[in-house]
Amino acid sequence: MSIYRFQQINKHQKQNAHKIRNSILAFVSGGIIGLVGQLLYVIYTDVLRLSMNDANGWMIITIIFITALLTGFGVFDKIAQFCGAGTFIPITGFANALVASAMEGRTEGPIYGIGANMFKLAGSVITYGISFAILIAIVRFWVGI
Amino acid sequence: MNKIRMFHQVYLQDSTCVVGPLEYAGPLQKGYDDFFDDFYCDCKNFEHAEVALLQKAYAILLNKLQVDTPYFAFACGGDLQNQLGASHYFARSLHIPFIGVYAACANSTLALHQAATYLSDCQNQHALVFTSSHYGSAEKQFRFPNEYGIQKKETVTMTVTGAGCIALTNKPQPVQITQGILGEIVDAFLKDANDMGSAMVMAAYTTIQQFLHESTISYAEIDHIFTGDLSSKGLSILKELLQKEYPDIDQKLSDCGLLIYDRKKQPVFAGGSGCGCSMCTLIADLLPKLHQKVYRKILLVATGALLNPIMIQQKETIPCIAHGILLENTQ
Repeated sequence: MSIYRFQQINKHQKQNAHKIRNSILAFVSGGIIGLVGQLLYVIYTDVLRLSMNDANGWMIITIIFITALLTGFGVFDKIAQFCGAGTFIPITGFANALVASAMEGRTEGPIYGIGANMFKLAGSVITYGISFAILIAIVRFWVGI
Repeated sequence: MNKIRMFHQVYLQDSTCVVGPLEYAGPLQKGYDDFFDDFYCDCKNFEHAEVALLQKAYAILLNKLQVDTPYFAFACGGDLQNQLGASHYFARSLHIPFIGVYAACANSTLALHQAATYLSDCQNQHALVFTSSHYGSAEKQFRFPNEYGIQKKETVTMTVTGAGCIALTNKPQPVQITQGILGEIVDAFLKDANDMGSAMVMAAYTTIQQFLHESTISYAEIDHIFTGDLSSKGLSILKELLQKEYPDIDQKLSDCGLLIYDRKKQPVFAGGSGCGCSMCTLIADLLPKLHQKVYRKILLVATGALLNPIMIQQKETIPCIAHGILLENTQ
């Protein structure tokens, strides 16, 4: 009886999750990260005269490095709380997941701590990344593009 | 069978609590005995930081009482870590019989209930009750790594970094534990681990209703009812549930998790949680008010979400529990 009333009230009291605000913030912050990436790319190709492939790699490395540094300083989670999917979806989210997990395992030593915990969250990205890469490679081989 | 347990001659002799930086910046600052301005509490990791909180609180308690360790007949306590890590590693230096209890955030009232049960009708005995929680170790245990950049929901609660120690005794003191109720596990069929406040509402509701219906004390005699950590959302649901039967419940029901932080100024989402939450609020705010006779009788119902992170991933619901104790100023 009371559980039924509870469910009704609970449904009725669903708090506003600020979905629109979060989407806009994610769009803008994700866009800014993309812009920074593009800027880095332009600097690497035009100023440092790297090839397009190399510049791409270096741009990603730079973004990962900055994320890892910010995570280490304990700033990234505060930025992420504000930006949401804006920092979660790009490579920054992946880098943060790796570093945060490694930091969490730090106290349990290099093997069972850092080594074993590092891919706790990011592991699924790698697992499914590799699986789908193989799948698509097979499809592509048969289709013969 | 009556679920209410009557305690005879169980008094609160003294209490101390030590908190972390965020709690100390909150509204109950004056009530804390000490604090750490560092999240790691001068330790290498969060687990030891929690032990350090307990050790500091215990040292201050011994100092206040002017006694040595064998003073207590036994200790009873719990925390949120796996295998009650903080409690056991703290209690290993006590060298007295120890009872570890687990009811998630309802540890505080369960430990008090348990100790009061043992102490009731004894003579000249003293018991130590303690609980602790730490934001870092709880996040690690139940949620994600601390530095993980995921956007938290509005309904998430903030685990209180703090530890409290209470000395119970048979010698008459102003504040007495007179009655207690052990709650049953209630499952409201909610699965969202980011909204444990709402999940715990039904457990709190069941325990409060059972207490008010079966106790020798009427609703009108109780000055205030405090729940443990229902979050802002959970508390408003509970108020709405109880409104029909008790029209003035709005003024008589508060939540410890909302008292310990200033939600307007501090980044705590829907309020505080954890076993340190109800314990520290009890020690820092409620006990002084009982001593000053602001309240004569209060019912403290700490609530616990008994979720297991693995079972939650297996699509299970969150079972919840609430234990209550009645505190009185009998002088």
